[in-house]
Amino acid sequence: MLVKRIDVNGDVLGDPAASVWSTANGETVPLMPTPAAMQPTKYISTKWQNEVYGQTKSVSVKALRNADEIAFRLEWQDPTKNEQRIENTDFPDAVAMQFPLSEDASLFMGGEGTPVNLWYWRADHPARARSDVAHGIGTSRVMDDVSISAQAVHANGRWSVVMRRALSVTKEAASAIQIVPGQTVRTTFAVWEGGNLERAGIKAFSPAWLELEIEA
Amino acid sequence: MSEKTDIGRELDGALQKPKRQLAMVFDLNKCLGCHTCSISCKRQWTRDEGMDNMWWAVVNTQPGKGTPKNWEDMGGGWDEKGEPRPSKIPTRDEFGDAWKFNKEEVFHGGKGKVTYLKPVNTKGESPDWGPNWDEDEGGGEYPNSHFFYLPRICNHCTHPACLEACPRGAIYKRDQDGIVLINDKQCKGFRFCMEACPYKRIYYNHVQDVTQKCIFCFPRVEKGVAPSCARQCPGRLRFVGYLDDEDGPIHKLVHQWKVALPLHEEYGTQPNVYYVPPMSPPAVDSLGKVDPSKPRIPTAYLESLFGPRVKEVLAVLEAEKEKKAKGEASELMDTLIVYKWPEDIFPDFVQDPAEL
Repeated sequence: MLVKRIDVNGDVLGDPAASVWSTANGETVPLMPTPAAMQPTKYISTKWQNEVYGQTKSVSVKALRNADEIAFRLEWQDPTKNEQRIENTDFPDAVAMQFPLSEDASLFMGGEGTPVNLWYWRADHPARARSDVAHGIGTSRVMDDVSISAQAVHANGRWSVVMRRALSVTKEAASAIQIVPGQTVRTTFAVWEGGNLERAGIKAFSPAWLELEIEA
Repeated sequence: MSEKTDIGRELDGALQKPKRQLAMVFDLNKCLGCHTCSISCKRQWTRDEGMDNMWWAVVNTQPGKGTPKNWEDMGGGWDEKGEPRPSKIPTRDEFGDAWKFNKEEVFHGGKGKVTYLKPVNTKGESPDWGPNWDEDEGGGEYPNSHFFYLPRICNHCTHPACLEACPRGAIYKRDQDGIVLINDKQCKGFRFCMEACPYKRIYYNHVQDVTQKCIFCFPRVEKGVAPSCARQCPGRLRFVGYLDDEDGPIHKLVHQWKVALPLHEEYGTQPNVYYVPPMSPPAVDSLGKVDPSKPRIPTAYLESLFGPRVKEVLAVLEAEKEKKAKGEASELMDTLIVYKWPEDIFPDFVQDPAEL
């Protein structure tokens, strides 16, 4: 998918309702539930093996860049808006993107020596996403050294979320993806339906890398 | 008891065991139900933001629904084959939420004569449950009504279901003393531990987005000070020590006299809090006639909590009590009485925190 360059203000890119998004290329990425057997603990596998989860069927992805920022617009169907975290059983809706930080990083949260960078947005903190690094299932760590701003709208049973970040990051380059114009990056997606108590590895994920060509 | 079932367990084929295991024994014959343990813990540890509904140390009336409500029916822990038993996350309402009151309106708003104090929970609703909602209700029919108090904390289990459920590896068992802790830097608030713990002694901090529980007062313990619930207990019923200390009261009560029993051993987590079961007066009929063959608290009920050895333990307690009553020596009764405080009740943790 081509990530077009469009020289608009970053705040325009950051708005999921901005008309500029109609000019962006898009892709509908199919999602599937993460296998119960791959959950990091036996408790989680046992508890969820007969439960229905990860039913978000796809996420519509668009991306644009301007001179110094990149923005991803993710939209998916979710009839229940879960943004609270007060009751012990409250889990907010969430979405994430995964970028490999090395050529042979595993789709499943990277691995030892082959880390991945995760951009994680959650409905209880709608205005920012977190930048995490992971070296395998169950290892993700928050690296709050990179700022990812976000804006989200829930309307007509759908979430639309834009995550926006500087193309290049200088600090802690080892744990955050560098987006270089003219090059390609790969990414995958995950969606959590909070209303179904989905969190951690209980989610819908895209089982193949989506290649993004960053327009020079 | 084999070494393995004593303080170790197998994980991935290897014996995992801490060098030593700290444990507590609660003598239920001495518990007054005063909640000083709960308050001392609250003042020491759970006053931060997001902790207002937390009671790491609770005292439940038995028979009763407990904290959280009906926790014994929620599952968790391990089944007979050692497989995890699925469970659920107990809710704030089931734990009994921290209530807010309309104090401003009643005391300062000039409405003292037309309204009254009304509690609301975090959701703004009128509560229909609280941490000790069924206190002193108990069970049985008059004239055999009965209840006793059951203090509960995290059991710092030898086979902790919470630890093994956590996808983050955020929970660990300390090698030097077997205390089970949650690393709040690693915890992401996923709450699988709250599900897996069969004793339901883990709380969720919705402000900090982490789970929290009893820490066996490890910063005190490291300085030779007993956990606050134990040191402050007016009934002096909370023994603290290492399971392998043959001169200490824990080893004496658990292994030598074998009168301290784990709560719901069938949950499979090998808890390190033990209970001396409560003795009770004999049952009476409606005419007041005493039946010495039947205790007021049905033995079957105690067995449902503390397992099949209850009868045997109660018999030992009765016999030793009888000896003491006759003026004969009883090491067991002397141990349970705690003549010298604090050295008889937590000999390794006698340091007065005020003098540190």
